[in-house]
Amino acid sequence: MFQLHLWVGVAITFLVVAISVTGILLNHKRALGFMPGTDEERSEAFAGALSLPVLVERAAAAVDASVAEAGVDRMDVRPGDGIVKVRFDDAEVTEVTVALDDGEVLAIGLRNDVFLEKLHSGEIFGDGWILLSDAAAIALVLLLLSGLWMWLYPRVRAA
Amino acid sequence: MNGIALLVGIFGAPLLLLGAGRRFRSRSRRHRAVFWGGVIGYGIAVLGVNLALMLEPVMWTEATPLRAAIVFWGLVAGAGAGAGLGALRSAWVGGPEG
Repeated sequence: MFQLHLWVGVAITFLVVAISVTGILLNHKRALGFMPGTDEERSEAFAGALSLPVLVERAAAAVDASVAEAGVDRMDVRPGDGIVKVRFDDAEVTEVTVALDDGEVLAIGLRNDVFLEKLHSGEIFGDGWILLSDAAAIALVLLLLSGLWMWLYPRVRAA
Repeated sequence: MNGIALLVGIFGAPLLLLGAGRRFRSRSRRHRAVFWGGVIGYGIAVLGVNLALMLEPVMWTEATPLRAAIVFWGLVAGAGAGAGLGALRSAWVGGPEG
């Protein structure tokens, strides 16, 4: 059991360090400024919202042509705040926050938390690399069980 | 090739070092120097690769080939360089084996 604990523990050293650090960074992504955003809220804006194509047009006009050409990956509409976050499908994951009612651009920036999420899951290295974080998770469970066994077994025998 | 280097760096290098650390006291001085060099080199590489991965936390692109090279090859290179330096140091210091 000790050998299992030892070999599994050594094998996942790097993964545990990388996954732990990215996990901590992701927990504090707002405080660390990994997400572009605005504190501006327009609670009445949703009722008079512009159409989605118009909002995309406004967002596209605010970024470089190369980013706009990559196309829109997704739009995150916040009715209560009166904003929409338009995320482009470029390599660096650019996001533009636009007011729903008049299309004013409120913030532009990179969604660096997306990079961290992909790093956390292993997806950053390519398709199939998500198995890397699965392996680390399974290994951690094995470490937990083997550690518990090593602690418990002598006590059970002595009892 | 990059993927293989990364996998070897993540799993192969530490397991190889762990294997090299078995029956440590009965090993030659050169073997022990290689082991310690590898362990120290790998430890430094773990820190270096993590720094390369996350500083700064933006998506890497084709414009940052050095960063990708460090990430994919750093662990293997770190352990290998450390072990090599350990062997060199052992040869340099000299003295009786054992």
